[in-house]
Amino acid sequence: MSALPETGAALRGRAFPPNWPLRIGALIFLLYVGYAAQILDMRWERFVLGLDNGARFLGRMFPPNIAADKMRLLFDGMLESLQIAIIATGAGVLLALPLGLCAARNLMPLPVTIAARGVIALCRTFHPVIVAILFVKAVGFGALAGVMALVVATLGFIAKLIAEAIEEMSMKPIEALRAAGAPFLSVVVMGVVPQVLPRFIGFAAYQLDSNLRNSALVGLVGGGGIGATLFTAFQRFDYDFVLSIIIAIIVTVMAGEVLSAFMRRIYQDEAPSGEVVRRGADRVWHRFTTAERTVRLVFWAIAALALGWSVQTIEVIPEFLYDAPEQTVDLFGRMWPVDWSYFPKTVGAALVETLHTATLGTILAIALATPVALMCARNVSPSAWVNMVGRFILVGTRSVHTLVWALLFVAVFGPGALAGVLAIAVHSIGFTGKFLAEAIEEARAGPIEALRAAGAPRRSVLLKGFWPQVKPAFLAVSLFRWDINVRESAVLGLVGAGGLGVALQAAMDNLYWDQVGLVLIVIFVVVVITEIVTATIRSRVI
Amino acid sequence: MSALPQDTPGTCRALIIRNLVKEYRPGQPVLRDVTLTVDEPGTVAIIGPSGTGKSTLIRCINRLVDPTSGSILLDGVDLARLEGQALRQARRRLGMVFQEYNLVERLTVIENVLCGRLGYVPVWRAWTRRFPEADIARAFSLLEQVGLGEFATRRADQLSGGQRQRVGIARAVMQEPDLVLADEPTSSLDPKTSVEIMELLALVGRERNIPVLVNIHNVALARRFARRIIGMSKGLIVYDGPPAGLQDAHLAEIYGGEGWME
Repeated sequence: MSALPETGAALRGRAFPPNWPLRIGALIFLLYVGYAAQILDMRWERFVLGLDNGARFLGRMFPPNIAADKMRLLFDGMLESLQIAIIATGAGVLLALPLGLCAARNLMPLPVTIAARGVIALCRTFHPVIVAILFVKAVGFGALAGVMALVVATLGFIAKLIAEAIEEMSMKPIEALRAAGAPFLSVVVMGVVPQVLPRFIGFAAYQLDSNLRNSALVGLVGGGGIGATLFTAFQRFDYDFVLSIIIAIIVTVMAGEVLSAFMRRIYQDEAPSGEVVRRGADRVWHRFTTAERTVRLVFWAIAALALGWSVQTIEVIPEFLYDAPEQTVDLFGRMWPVDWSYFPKTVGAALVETLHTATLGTILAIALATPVALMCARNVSPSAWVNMVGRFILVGTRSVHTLVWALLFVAVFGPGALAGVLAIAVHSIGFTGKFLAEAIEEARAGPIEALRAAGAPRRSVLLKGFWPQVKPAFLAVSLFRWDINVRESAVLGLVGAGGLGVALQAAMDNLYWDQVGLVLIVIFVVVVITEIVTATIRSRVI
Repeated sequence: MSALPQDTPGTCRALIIRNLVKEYRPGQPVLRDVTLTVDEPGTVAIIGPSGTGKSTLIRCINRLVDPTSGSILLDGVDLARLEGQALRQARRRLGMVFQEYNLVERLTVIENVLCGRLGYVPVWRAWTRRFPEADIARAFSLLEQVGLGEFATRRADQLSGGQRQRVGIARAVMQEPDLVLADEPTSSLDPKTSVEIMELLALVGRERNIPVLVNIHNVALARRFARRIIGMSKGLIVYDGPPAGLQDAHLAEIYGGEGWME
């Protein structure tokens, strides 16, 4: 007990001691934003000028072009994209099953898991667009290159999630089956599959709509599908047709999400219970009831038909395929040794630009996504209308890929990092907003009720009731998105939005493959470092 | 409770454990030198405080845990030396019942019971659920026997603890075992259900004419159902004999102290 009576200020200081690390952190953060914005030449005049431009641009987009010949082009492009997505999902998921199983540390010997994890990491390192570029060089222009690029992406994503799901499952039933003398594959079929199937179906469904989005992307670099149509429309300044294409993409992606939600409902909610039929004195056990069997049969028939149709009709030029291995060897031969002198000349500066683009874009995305998340969270949203608008923003921004946004923003603001930052920010709204909204919805209602009962106004409830509960998820989502955005910003330059992609495009245009090799190595190193940094921060802070 | 269905009685084979030692960490043995012979059918209860190696002993027998040294002879075959296919074939004849049932939660009750046949049927039959008809018929009768005839197509996660343990026992019997191992089968259950489960295990032993080795915390249950009691303390067997011979002095030696017995 202190002998002297404390003054008001001292009392306040004792109740709320100043958090100096936080204050300094905030200052550094603000300084960084200012500095990075300056580096990227993000001036206010440019933005205003761009808005002016944007108004004209929007004017040229409306009304969307629906002339018959354009619709024909649109339909063909969309169809090919759909086929690419279906084949890539089917083949990728099938290949990912054994790969994911091999990577599960609780079932497989260590050397096998290390090898499998290496393959997975390799598949995940490069953006699908870069993989598509390499496949276009190897097997020629067209849908096949697109399919192969998306198979690689699917493989990396699904195999990783399967491995994680297997590692998280309960080992108790596995132990029981082993104790009964079951051979390994029977343990997998009866013990592992039932436990991971619901999550697996979820991943596969998610991957289908992710591949739908990405199939619009691989076309930008010659991988076939609607992306090629879109890129041509941009180059010919057919902005009204661009709008038609973008609308078509959004509609298709939304349809894909509905379909995948349906798929999850069939397979995820209820495992089949089956039935026991009495036939005379005998009892016969069926694994599925008639209804369950019918739904499954129809589902598999549709899936098989879709896959068969896609494989049948997709355009593959066999001549290109025969010399693909040769071409690939030749390609890598020309990349090695890489041209290190390209780094100080161009790549170094481009790398810095890429990192700033990713960081600023993520910060802007969080700023934009937070209000949208508040609109979408059902326990905060003021009305059903606001909620619906919020959800539309989430789906709309997410359906259009970063690179497509970048194309739009390059047209509005001119080439450079400003377009890149905006593309990253706008596309990230969907992802960030969705996870933030879910985190808000999961906040415990008790403290919120207590604040409301004490008569706290809305803003105070958000700040003192929700924020402390949502903070960890907020940090985790931001970090995760930053990790993704570093990969994305490395390819934005392919459409002129600044960063490493510009250096990559320039090297490819000049056929300086040794420079291309250097850029790929730099991207690889950056992605690996990013992964390590985020993993470290995540384990320390969250 | 009536007789178990159309069961070919198991063969009571002699289980001879010699100088069994298990160290999870070098220098810190959990089992210190266990020698034990079980060659008569019926329930054998293993009692002892937590952490004394009861579970480890049971798990060494079917090799869920690999012993550090010693031998485990079942009908002359050393289980401690088996690997791969030979180990799997030996495990088929060792039924195991777990404390937490270890059912595959998302499979139905009948699928869980049929899991007891996985060591016998090829994997494609498991995958397509085309188990031999005789197996399915037997699974049904077993379910009837343990009082779960109406639950065949329920999912395992919809059952109560006692019901799940009955499924666990049915699965073990489905293996047509020559020996049943039960690791704390009643520890997660209420007193009444515990008695029912012990009755069922004793019945399995009688009907199949095989030994049933049960790890159990509850001394009263052990006395009531076991033909023979093995008391373990600090990785060693300190009592081996009929329930009637188990005195307070033994219990004090097994569990340490006496205050808890009041």
